[in-house]
Amino acid sequence: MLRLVLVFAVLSALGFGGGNAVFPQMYVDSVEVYHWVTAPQFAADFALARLSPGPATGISALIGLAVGGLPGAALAAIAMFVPAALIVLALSALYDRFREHPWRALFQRVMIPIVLGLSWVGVLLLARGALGGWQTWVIGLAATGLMLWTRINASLIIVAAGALGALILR
Amino acid sequence: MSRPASLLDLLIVFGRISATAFGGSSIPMMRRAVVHEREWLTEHEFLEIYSLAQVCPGGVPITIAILVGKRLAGVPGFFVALVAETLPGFVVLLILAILSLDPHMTVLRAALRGASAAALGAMVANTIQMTWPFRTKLVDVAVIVLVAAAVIVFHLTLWYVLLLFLPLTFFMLRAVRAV
Repeated sequence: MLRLVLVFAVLSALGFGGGNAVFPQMYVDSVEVYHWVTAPQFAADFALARLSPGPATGISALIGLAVGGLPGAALAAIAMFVPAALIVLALSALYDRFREHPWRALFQRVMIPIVLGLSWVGVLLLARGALGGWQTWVIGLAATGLMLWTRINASLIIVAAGALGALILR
Repeated sequence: MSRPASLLDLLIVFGRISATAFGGSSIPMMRRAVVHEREWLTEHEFLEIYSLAQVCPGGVPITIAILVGKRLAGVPGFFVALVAETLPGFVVLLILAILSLDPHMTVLRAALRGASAAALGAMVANTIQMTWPFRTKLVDVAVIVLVAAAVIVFHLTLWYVLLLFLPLTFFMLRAVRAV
């Protein structure tokens, strides 16, 4: 259990670039090195963590659950979330100190199109897993329209689509 | 300027998102709640935090939540946003994991498929809205397309994207006197 916490804490602290950057290393550690879960189990956990609300790095909780039940899940989640958050706290304090520095404004401006490009990549990757059959296209397009042109609460749209899916996607 | 936010407001907004953002819809939900519903940040401020979150460790949605919390309510806001953004999602995930051990849970799987199709739609709308102000800026559009192609076709990781595109974008923007 201690090893579980250590492995996830290291992944958390070094996981610059978000979830997609840490999953390959997490797979190697959990499946090949320490045998906490099997490869198919890792894939199933990955799918569930991505579909569930909350961050995809919540997969750490599912691996913790396999290793040590509910306490394992809680410890693994804390190990995955807290170190990264503390580094962000330190980085943001540093960033705020350069509030007036001209490089900060320059960094912000230059990052805009890069981040938008990455955001479109995220859309395409999400589409690979989310689209299958015309019903999912209809739900996806309807959600796009509702988000663009109405002020309906986003949580409501997602939960309603889940209920609709339960009825028509079985 | 941004409206004031209490710790309770942060807890409610991020707690609701954490519990309901099925299928990867948390970033569109956050932008909508923080920029449009609560008017805590402008579009530009949100985009700035979104950019920072890309280069920080940890999941992007968590980083956005804690940076918004810190900006609006200091270090206490940071910790409230961290708990609100992770704990409800953690509880829902464990409930789903325990339910899905039952192989007959086809209803659950169908519900998750419906929610993720809608999450994709929310993400598309979100990305359209964020890109819209830059649609006539040639350099921005070119960089967006090049970054997307570099990642999709050549599988460049984040660090290579930054190494390549930070200087490239800078010189392109400088060439058209946009910076």
